Amino acid sequence: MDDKDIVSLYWERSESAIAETDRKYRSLCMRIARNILNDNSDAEECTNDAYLAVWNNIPPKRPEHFAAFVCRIVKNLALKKYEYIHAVKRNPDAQVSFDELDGLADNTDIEKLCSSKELGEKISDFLQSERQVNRVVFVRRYWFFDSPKEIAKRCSMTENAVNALLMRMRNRLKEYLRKEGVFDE
Amino acid sequence: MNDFIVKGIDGIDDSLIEEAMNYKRTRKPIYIAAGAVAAIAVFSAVMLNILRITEPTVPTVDGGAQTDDSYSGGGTNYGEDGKIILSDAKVSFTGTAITAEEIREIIEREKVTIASFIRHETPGAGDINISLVGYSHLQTDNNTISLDFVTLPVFTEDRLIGEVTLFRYDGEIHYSPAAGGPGWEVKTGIFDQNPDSELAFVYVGQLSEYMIAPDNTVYGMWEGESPLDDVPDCYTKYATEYNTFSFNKMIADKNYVTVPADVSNITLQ
Repeated sequence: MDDKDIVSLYWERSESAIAETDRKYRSLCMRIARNILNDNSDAEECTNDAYLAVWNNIPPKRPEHFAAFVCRIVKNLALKKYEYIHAVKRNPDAQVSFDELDGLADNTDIEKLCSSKELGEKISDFLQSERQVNRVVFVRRYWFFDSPKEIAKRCSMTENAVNALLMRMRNRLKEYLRKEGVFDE
Repeated sequence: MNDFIVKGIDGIDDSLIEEAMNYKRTRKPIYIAAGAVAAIAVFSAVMLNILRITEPTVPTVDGGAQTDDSYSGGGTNYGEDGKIILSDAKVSFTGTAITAEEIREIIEREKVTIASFIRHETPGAGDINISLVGYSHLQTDNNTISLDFVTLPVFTEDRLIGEVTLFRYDGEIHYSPAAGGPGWEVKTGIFDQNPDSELAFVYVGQLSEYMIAPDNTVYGMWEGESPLDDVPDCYTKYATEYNTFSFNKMIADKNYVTVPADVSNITLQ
């Protein structure tokens, strides 16, 4: 079913809206949650919570990008859960993904220079200036928390190439954010 | 964990998330044992029963395939800055060059099957021309050209639509057609910009094909930086008689065969 039709079902308060969402996006939601939580049952709980949250948000919202809307909710719920789960259960891939980003900002005061919303816009601008494959690799790694191995498969690359590309992109992003005044000189 | 950066990335545009969600780079390289395909009723049957996968496929660009056994998968060296380290070695050659006679023989024999496959991936292609001359690739990991492989352009009246790679394997010459995907438009543009030039063809690392013009302009299949940008006089360094090709010279010499639009030996589903 088309995303717009699914959204319409939510607006009609039809219970089949959740069933259709589940049919189309369950595997994607589970994957996002599992990438963060590294646990099937936690991911399942998170996915089901996300459906409820979607139900509670539509209406009044009518998301233009429904898939991304659902993904965001799943991811946010998973990250909240992540904070409460013992470190040993965390997905090492997600943890490494976070660790890789640490090198981007070493100034503890950066939040005073730019809001996270503005930062999101700047990172979006940066990504739009990159080649499509670069954008995808970056977003799959740091938004979806896919492992380099999974990204390599998706993008027909090798893990080495993925890691090298990510390293170059982090360096370029760091430089870009510095020029944009997000970081102190 | 740097929460601020994570939150920033979390706030990127929805369109970027959906792009990454839906993206999957597809490639359509297929290896075919020469002489194995005759009149075939159903294309899927060709795939299942006739096509022989003879060795691993190493993709280079959308729709293309590197079939060079000199390819050093996993052997690419990266510097601390993440850039590929290119070999300083002199160009060397391996294998035995596929002769003009061998090319003509296999293409004349298999041209209809090759054209049928490529037409299937290129709706509305019309008459299809298969070049009888082509080029090998220099692999910059080790500056080696495997002469056992040669790539022949496949084109219509006005554009490149695919390639067929011939390769020696186990005492026979096999062929591998490739078509589909957006890469051919890019390559058509490169040929259009350099109609008379002997472009040099190289592979860099594990994924990327580059073409170098005699004026040292480097063309890649993607926009952006090239690992060859820092190589001074890279055309002289990498061009040999085996990995260079001029599109107009091939046309002027009439070094191609044509398969008319209504000729096919495969019924496609």
